[in-house]
Amino acid sequence: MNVPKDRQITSKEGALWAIVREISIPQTYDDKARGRYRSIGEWLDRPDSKVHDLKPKISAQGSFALGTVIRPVGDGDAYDVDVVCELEKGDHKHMSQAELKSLVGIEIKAYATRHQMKQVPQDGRRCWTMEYADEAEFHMDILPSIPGKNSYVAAMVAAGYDINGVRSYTGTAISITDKKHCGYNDRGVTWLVSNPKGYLRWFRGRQYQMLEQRRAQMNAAGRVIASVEDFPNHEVQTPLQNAIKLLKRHRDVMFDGDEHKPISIIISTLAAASYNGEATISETLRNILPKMQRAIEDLGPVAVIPNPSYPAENFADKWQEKPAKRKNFERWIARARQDFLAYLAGSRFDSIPPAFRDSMTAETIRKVAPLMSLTTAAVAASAAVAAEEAAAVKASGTTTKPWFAGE
Amino acid sequence: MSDAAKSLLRDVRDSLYVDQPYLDIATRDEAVVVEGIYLLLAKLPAYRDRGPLAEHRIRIEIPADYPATEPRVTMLDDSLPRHESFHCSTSGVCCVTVFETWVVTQKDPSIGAFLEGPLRNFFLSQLLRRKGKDWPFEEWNHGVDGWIDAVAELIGCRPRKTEVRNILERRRDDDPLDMRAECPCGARVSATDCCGPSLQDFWMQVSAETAELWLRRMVELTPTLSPHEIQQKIHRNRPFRRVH
Repeated sequence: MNVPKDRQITSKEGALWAIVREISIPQTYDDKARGRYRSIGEWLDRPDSKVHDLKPKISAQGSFALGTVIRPVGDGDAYDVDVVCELEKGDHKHMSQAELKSLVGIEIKAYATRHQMKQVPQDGRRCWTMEYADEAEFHMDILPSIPGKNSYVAAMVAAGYDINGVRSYTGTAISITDKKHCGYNDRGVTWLVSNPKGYLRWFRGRQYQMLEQRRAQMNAAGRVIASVEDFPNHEVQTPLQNAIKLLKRHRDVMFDGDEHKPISIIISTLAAASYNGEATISETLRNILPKMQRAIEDLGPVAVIPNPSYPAENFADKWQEKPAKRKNFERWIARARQDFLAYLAGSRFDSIPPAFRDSMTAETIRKVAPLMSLTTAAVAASAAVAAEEAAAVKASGTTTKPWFAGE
Repeated sequence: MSDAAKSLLRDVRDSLYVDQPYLDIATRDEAVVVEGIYLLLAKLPAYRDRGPLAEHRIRIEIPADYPATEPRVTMLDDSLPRHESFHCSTSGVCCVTVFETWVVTQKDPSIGAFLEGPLRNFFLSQLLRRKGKDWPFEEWNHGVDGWIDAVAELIGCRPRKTEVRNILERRRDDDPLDMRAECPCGARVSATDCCGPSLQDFWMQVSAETAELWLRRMVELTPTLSPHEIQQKIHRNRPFRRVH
């Protein structure tokens, strides 16, 4: 097979990039999803909308906001698009969670009718779910919310946190609706708190250096981005984002259909917290995987993985009542480290070990493998290579001589 | 599990999690036991993507009091000849280096440094040796002679058993080192003119307790001779042989 030179893979980094391309969602699907939620945002903000006066603002959260969306493993599976609908003038003194949910629901149902959607939006525990059934099959979870600065501070103080440490995150906190919340139907009570924008800011901050470089490149190319804070995550592909995509694919394959599979937010949080500004996907994986495994091993009997932008929230809060979740996470991270390093450390770049191939799906690797081009000498462990390695040891002054103590 | 054992386990994980996917780490009676396939990896950027230089199935038993006690490295496959000329006993135990002298010369004698240093050097040397090359970092003589060579190199004295023993005994007894006085190796010249400044380093690197341990080690390594062998040795060492 003749592969154009610019598509040839001649390194492990190249192979990882090619796999990331295969598992990422097509740009057209991404654009479509973003177009859809913007369209809902415009609908909610139209002059005769019931929530127009409350200043509705739509923004992405979760994988779409972080730029870590991947294709589902099965062809028939749909994408999840998580969206926050924040009514900026909303106030929990004058509105209960049930009232907010219903108010947003009326508009969303009207939107569905207006756009002749086949399925009626579903009223979930926290969100309204809309099913889109075209070639880019996905469902959109819309989370109704209002500003939650006061609830955030109250929750943090109640949990015993020093608010000064997270003061920069208070402005982005939101209060969200939850049917299982005891004050769901009451006005004036404290609501559940979330902070997706704060999390996004933290996530960007973890790769500040990398984004700053990209920002400079984009500015030089004429696209002005004022600061890293304003960076559209989905428009860049950083090593951290790509590494998270690969980890999520590994998780999806390992736990196909298992409801207790490791959740994406814990994977993203641990990966971003371990990230140290590495410039390539392979370096990122080599750095973050051992650290993630160590972080999980070092957790006490009660696992706490705090939300960096809202530390009172424990991402692992369900592990206590469902030990299978913790066990699965431990199993997964150990396997992921082994499978990725089997390739990164234990193989030639053009020889993908079976465990790694299976973890990315054979179908994905089948598409990538033909692009691999052997440009280096075939025998890795030649005497010349070993001699060069030995010379490097000598140059570093760390030689040691073998000895024989006797039988 | 004691704090020392926990800390050791943490160090081992930190060292091996990064690029040894096929080594399993377990604990046994406070010791850490690592077992599986060890990958000899290239470090030079040009060769990193070419995969491991060699693979060996090994077991490393790391005692809880590491680095006071040496880790034991055992081959579990036949990837190295089990022969003294390859520094591997018939039972597969590898003598990666003279551990005692390595430890005292290291700023960081952590288990990570051991794995990246003597262990990797050992397998890298083996690879070259098996390809018909010389030992790239040379090798110590076998048995007690090699051990004495290594300690003598550290001290800066001649590789003679008596000199090494004299110095170790002086260090064990915590005798102050006077570089202007007679050299502790036993030569009748000043230490400055004999073993030189490395002797001062040695006095700082090796404690009295360590010197005591090394003296014991020297005795352990010295083979026990039968009366006949002793007689032969005396006979061989006579300056003038009788002519009958």
